[in-house]
Amino acid sequence: MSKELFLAKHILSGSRIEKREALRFLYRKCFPSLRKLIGPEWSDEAVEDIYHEGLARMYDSLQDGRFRGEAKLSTYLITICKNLWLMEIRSNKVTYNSDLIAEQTEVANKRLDAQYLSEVMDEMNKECRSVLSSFYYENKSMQEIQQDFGLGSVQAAKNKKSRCLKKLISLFQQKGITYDSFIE
Amino acid sequence: MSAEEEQLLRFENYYLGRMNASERAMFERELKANREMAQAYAAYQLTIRTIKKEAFLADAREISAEEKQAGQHNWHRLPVSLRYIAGMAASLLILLVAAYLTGWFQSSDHLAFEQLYKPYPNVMQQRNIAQSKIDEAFVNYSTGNFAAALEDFQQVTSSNDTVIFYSAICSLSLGDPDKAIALLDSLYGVSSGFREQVNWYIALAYYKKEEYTPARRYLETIASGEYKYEESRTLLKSIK
Repeated sequence: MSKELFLAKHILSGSRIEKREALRFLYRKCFPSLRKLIGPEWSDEAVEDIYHEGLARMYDSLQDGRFRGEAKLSTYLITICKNLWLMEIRSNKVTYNSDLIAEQTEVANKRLDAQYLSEVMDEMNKECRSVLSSFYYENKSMQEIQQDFGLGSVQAAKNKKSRCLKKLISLFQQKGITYDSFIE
Repeated sequence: MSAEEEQLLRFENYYLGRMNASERAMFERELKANREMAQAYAAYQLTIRTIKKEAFLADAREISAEEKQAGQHNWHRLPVSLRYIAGMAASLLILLVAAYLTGWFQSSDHLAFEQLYKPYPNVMQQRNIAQSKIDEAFVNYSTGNFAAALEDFQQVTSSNDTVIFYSAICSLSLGDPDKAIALLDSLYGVSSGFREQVNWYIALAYYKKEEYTPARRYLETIASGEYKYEESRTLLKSIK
């Protein structure tokens, strides 16, 4: 069975090792093609920015269930990146097309949201972020989290996770960030 | 446990799929009826998504950096003498390819096919996401993966002139002029968006086969102002 079939599953619900393996596979498969598609006049850093933005959008689609698995995940990612690149080209051209301006503004706002959310996350202490990431992203059990962070008991680990989560929710609320402003 | 904590626990159970069917149905009904609860759940969902996405992107950046370094590292790990030899070999290869492309090794006055042939660019408007075989085919086509693109085009159920034309270009790029001719022939003289391009590529396919008479015939049909007119005149001179 093709490795591609497991990618989405690994990225969404796999262990961190599986997720990293999937990311490595995608990088090896997609980045050289993207580099070739975009051409040498764009720097490696610029292509990497597009690739990471594409990954972020692909991840949103996976979380929302918008990726239906009709195309390979690597093809899906390259298409997203290609469209981001075309938008980037268009945004560098002077235009009086009102539709295009509206589209550019929308893109800029979405980027701001993603960047802003990242900055808000930075306001949390590192340990809290790690605990939340271990549970929700790495899919670790509370017992593993208790051991990793040297907490006295599983209950203590649960309490810590709960406190950190509440803190982050209230941070988002304080900043006026809503779910509607986040989703595409 | 406070009311807030209880609510958070319910959100968690719903989000992580720890509720049974009836609990889920009840929770969803409550969400629809209670605006405040729906807003609180949206805030919870946003938070979890952000945690996951941030961690995912941090891993992605790390992997990219590792892969980039590994690519550079492999080269630098070679001993200096080997690097020198590899550099020389690469330069020699470039010189040979350049010499071949500029016609140094050609015994006749004919232009090299490789000098003339360029796959037709992907001019099709793609959707935001590759959801169908045709989107997938065009992604492969744009990245120069003609074998995969051809396979995808062949799986497109509603075959039209675009699919046939691009399948022909894939075949020609893969060194199969016979197949390209068969496909392009079905479009020849047909009113399609690729009418002018068909003349040029069918001529090139015959040229590749070194069948100069039909190649000339197709080249002569390219009129002034049409696609590849200048190139067709140069090629005609070279054939004559």
